[in-house]
Amino acid sequence: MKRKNKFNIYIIAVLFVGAVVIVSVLIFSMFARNYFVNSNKILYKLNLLENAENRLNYKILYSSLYLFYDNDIVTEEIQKIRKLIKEIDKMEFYKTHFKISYSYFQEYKKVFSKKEEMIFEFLRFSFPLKNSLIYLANSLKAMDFDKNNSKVVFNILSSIFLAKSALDTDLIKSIELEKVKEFKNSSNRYNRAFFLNLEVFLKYFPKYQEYLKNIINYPTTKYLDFSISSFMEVVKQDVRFFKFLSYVLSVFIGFLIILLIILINILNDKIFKISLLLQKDTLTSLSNRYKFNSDIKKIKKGGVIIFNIDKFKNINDIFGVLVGDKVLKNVSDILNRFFKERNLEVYRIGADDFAVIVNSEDKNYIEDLAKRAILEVEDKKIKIKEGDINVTLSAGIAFSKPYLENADLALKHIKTDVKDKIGIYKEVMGDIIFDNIKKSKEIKEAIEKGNIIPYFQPIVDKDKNIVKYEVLCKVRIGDKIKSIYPYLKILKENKMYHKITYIMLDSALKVLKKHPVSLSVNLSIEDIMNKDILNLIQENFTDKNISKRITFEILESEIVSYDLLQDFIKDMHQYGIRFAIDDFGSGYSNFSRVLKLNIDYLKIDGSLVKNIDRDKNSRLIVETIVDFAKKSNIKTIAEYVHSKDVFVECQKIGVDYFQGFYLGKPRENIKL
Amino acid sequence: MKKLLFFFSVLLFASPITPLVPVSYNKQQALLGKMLFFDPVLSADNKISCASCHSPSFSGADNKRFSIGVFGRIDKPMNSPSVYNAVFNCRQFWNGRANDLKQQAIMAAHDFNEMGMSDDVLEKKINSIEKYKALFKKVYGVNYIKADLIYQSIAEFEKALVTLDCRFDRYLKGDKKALNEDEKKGYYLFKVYGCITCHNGKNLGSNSFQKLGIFIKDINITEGNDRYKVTHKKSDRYVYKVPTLRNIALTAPYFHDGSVKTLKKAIELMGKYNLGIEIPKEDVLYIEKFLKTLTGKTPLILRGEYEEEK
Repeated sequence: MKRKNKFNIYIIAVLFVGAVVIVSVLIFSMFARNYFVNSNKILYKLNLLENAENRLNYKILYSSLYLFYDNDIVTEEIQKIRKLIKEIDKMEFYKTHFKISYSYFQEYKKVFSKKEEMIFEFLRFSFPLKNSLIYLANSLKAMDFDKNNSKVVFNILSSIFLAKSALDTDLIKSIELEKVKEFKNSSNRYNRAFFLNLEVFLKYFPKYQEYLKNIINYPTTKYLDFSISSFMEVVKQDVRFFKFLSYVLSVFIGFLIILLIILINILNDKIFKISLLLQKDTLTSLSNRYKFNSDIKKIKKGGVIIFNIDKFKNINDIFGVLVGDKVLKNVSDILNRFFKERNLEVYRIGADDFAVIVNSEDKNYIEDLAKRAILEVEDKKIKIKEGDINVTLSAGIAFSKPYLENADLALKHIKTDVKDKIGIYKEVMGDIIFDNIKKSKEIKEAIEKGNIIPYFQPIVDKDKNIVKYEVLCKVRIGDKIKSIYPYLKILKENKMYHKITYIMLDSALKVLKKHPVSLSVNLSIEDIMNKDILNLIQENFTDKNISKRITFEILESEIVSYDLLQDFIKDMHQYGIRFAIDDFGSGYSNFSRVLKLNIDYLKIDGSLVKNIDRDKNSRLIVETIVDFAKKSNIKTIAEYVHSKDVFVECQKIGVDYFQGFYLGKPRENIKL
Repeated sequence: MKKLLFFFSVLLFASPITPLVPVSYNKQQALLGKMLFFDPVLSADNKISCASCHSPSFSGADNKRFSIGVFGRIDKPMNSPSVYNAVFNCRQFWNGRANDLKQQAIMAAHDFNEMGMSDDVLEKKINSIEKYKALFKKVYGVNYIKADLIYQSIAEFEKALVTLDCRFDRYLKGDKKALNEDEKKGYYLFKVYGCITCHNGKNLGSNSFQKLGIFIKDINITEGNDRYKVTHKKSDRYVYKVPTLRNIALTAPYFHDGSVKTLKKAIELMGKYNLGIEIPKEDVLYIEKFLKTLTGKTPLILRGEYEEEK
């Protein structure tokens, strides 16, 4: 959970920083765009203004040079400037953002309107001056004057033209109007015009040159320059600010990239862990089926062993999942240790299925490996609160493709026969599957149609007196009566076994009620955990009339928990119900445990009994069992008594009761 | 005389007068302005319109020495200048106290002797007239008519008052037959006497301020509203905006105070007052003939066909 939170925080952080970056980039770009568009506009207009100022000055100078001049050129230039000033004045951004520059601009505006007035005044002096010049120069040719006067007139004219060209009033100071006074009242109008125009020239020239100089040097451009330079100063600062902002944004973006890298790393890490999880089983830390599937592809020749914990489902059912997990862990640890020493890997490929891939062509070696591994596991008890658990394993081995399926088939095949611990795949096994499907259909149908039929086989004492009958289950398939034995595995797999037991118990009850006989019925460990069966026993078999005549046979190899069974036996004993351990001595027998169960009978396994007249070992074992039973006050029953020799031999050893074809075959009805 | 002309000819190289060109304007606003221009409702006594003193019948001026304003007030001592081609004036009024046409309209409206209006009264009056409400809504999209828009419309109308295609303009554009020989001589004299020094540009004047009577010590003429009233500089006394010579034959009387009745006299006086020369009688006639070629066509907006276009 903690990790998940951390991961979420990273995602939120990345989204947040991403959003912040996107929003700030957008705002920044919008702001910057606006800023530069507006400031460029302002700067452009200010530059236009400066150009117009220079052009105006140029045109005024031009105007002063030429005698005939279109003065619209000057006034239009003034109007252009006025229009520009108006436009700039309207720019709110200029006013608010470039305050100093704007205040210089306002100064400029004031100064320019003064300059404008000055220009008009200059023109007022300039035009008459131009005309005077024309008249002074041209009237000369039409004037009447004598030699004395001519020198004066020429001096005057030369001074005037010099002064006009030099824009210097000093040059006309020497001119004395008095000397040409006589022209004023001359009869020649050109003489009079000369005098009058000279008078105007002398009067207007000083003002004219003063205005011209003033206009050209007027500080309008100075304020405009100030305005532009302080504008640039602000822009420079702003650009610095924008730079800073872009650095900040870059840092943000960098940060975002780092966050993304971290995020990607975390994701990579996660993906790696998930892929590990995909390959490793969490409970046992073994590699899982996916790993197995990928590893099996690499193998060219060799074999696969599958181990299965026998009756693991029962363990889970009886002790709970926690104990089941502990068992799994234990088994997997043992297997893992065992195979690791041999550089082999164990995979958990199912709930209680473990697989090993052996890259060897030596089939015997592989089989031996499986055997030793099973022994290794079965050697060790698993301790739990309720006591010790004995775990047994079965194994299936396949040497050909498809390995897993074949090994699984082999395993299922041997599960039908508990005595075989290891099954090796043969091709015929494939047929078993079809067979199983067929059997499954048959048995279901039989149960539904009431074709499960009890048979009764007598159990006799040493004098061949029938003391009780064992209720055996037969099934009618079509016209034939068959043993239930081939269907057992399917019944257990399909959880139908208890139905058979129920039918057997029910049939036994009917017989017990009808006839004064004793009966022995098989019960499995699963049966005593089934509610329906327990109810049936509690309600109908606890009656003294019945309970004293009933014995429950329990298969030793099926016992997973002695403690549970012990409780059940203890409970049933108080009603007088007796218990037998079936198939005792078939390979798993444990005297001390059996003793603890406080049972009443031991049924000696047929495999020991059937050759007792010829096999010394069998005889020795049976002797030991009988000896042990007698000392423990337990009666013994020999199964599979198929001949007189066997019967006699068993009598000699001291077996209490006998059962077998020699003494009586199973029949549908009890012969009284 | 031929001698004199020969001597002067050296200087005649420039062409400081340019033909008139149409000014672009907003037609809808101008037509609305036209309606207002002729509407006496704009005056305090509902008797005077802009056109009262700037009538198309008198080429954008009137034939009186002094115009008559509201309540019979005589607008002394200035002669009303023509509204035609006023768009080319560097400033408005004789003394240039207004910068542009709109400002001129405002000042004329507010003037006690002219229209005698205030903006409040003007707005109230115009907004009470459904015709104007509908038109302003159509042209400007406003529900309430502000005085500013009234002046704006009138100014827009005045932009259209350009008298194109006078004979002299055609001559300037290359039609050498547009002037006869006498008129050409008049133009020539106009230049050589130095009239052109001040009367230049599109409007033959109205682009500078000049003192009346440079060559006269004690001028016997009413001072009126001269430049001095604007700048308060002593040197600006008797300084007026140089008037345009366009349509001059139709805009008598002459001078700022309307004291000169004929064009001949005006030419003669200008020579005396401002050129320091007595222009010979025959030269005056030539110049007069030239000035008469400056009469242009009635502006399109004042002609019947323009209305139909609307």
